Amino acid sequence: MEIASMRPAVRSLEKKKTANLRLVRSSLQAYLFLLPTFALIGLFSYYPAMLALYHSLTDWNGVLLANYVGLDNFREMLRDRVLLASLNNMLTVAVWSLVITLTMPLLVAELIYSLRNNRAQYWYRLLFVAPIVVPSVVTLLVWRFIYDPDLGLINAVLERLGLAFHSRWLGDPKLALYCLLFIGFPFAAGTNVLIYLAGLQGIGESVIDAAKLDGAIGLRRIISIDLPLIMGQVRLLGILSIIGGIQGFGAQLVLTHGGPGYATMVPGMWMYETAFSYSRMGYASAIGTSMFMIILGLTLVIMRSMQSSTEYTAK
Amino acid sequence: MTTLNASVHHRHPLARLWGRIQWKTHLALLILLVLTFYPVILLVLFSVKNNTQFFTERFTLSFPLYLDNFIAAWGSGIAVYMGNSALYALVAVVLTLVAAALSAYAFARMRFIGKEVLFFLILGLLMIPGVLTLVPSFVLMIKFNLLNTRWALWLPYAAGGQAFAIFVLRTFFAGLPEELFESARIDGASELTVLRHITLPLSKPIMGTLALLQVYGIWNDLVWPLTVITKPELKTVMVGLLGFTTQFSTDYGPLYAGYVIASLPLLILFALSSGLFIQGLTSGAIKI
Repeated sequence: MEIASMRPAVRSLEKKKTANLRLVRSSLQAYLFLLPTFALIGLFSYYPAMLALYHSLTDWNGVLLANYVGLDNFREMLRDRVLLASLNNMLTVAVWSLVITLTMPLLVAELIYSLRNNRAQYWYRLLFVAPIVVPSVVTLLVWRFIYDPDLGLINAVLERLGLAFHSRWLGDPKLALYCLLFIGFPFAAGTNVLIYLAGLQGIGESVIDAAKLDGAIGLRRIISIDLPLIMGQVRLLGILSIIGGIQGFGAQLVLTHGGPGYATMVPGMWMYETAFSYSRMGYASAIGTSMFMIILGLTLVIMRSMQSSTEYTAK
Repeated sequence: MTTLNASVHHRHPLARLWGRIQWKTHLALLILLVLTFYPVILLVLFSVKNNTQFFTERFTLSFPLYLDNFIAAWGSGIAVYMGNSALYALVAVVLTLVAAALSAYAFARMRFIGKEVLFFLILGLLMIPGVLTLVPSFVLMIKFNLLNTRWALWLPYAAGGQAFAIFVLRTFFAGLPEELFESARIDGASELTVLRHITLPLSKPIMGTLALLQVYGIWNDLVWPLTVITKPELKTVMVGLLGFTTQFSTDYGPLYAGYVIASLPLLILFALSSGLFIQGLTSGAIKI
């Protein structure tokens, strides 16, 4: 009796043992697969990030040994007028970039999706993604010309129309930031269109037909059927656009350097200046650290608030 | 269906055809396309003008076309910059995809201890903004003696490409039918064999798409190469273009011809690979 009842227990114990052994062996193999990635990100992503957090507490100038100064850098940030002004600009840029990412490419994707002719769909897809071949620096430089007060397109058009409104655009402190935001108008092209389109095409005929029967057409269908079903795409592009909006300063670097005055200054540009023009690596690291906190917080909030409808669970 | 079609039947055949063309949608799309392409058209227009034409008839096509502008632009060293950028992109993409494919395979198809924690470390990468690591990465390059070497671009780009590539590839690998993997394992194939001979051949479009996205990103990047490369013979094409702008500051034809030349490699790449690119982007794997 006793032996008979013990046997299965022993067997299952042994089974567990071999299963464990197998798990250890497959783990070791998996770690080998992961090694190149973790070597790269450890050395070139996590280590610099750690250094930034550490240096944000020092007065390091990039050359001499750093002195620990506690939270002095962060206290200085609260008094830094340029930085405070730049936060306002950053907020404008981030909100704007979120709004255009969630509207224009989605609108184009919906328009293309609604076409019944497959050939037309194909050509529009191709044409709307094609502008990504123009390098961003070239785009910026062409827009600099468009805004040029003497030779530029906008003033020329206004003159032709007989409008006396003759502005210096990027040189005008009141308009410069809005000019930067307007670059890339109508914001309808690029890979985002295709990413939304992929989501829409994945919805399936039956859902659309059912929606039609229930009277969900037009904007109603987009809001109550399409958007929830492409939440995976919306969430990804939303997060990327906010992160890009908060930390991007390419347009400033090429066109305005944050000027005129500090009219277009954003924290990223200011960090770049303090680090590489004034060699204040410690203070720059503190700015970087603060931006990291903001981005981290926002990303978590967005991930929470926009739950994906089709969560993938790892096996 | 019959009730829907009834109203259409009474209309004139031409009106029905007109209705079928969805002209409002086409009109909206075409207007957006014209607005989108207008700066590109300006760019090309300017590249074939001499200065007189530029000052008198900027916004229209004017003859003769000054194709010499392209020779002048080419002669100013842009070829070296383009070669550099191509080399940076090529090596970085290979490094990125090899490492990312291995990791993505492990996360999608293998069982191991600490999977969640390790995946969270990858997820965490997305939260580390470039601005946070810019300054310390620059210092790291000094420490490793990599400033003004090609490695200063290859390694950080390969590291920077990991998170996105692993995300997308993991989703894609996990979506492949389980039977493929089962039968291969029953035949005694190792994980590496399964990855190389079953998974990767099925993943060509998505791998190609990731490669192209990264090439575009690297070709376009300005801040990092501006920070770590000062030697003219190692400069990237975007950094080169900035210098170009001062060099030809009043010579508009060659200046814009240079911009056009700098865009050509991506245009050619796109022309050769647009099918693959669109297929990959519309596969539905790019989401979270």
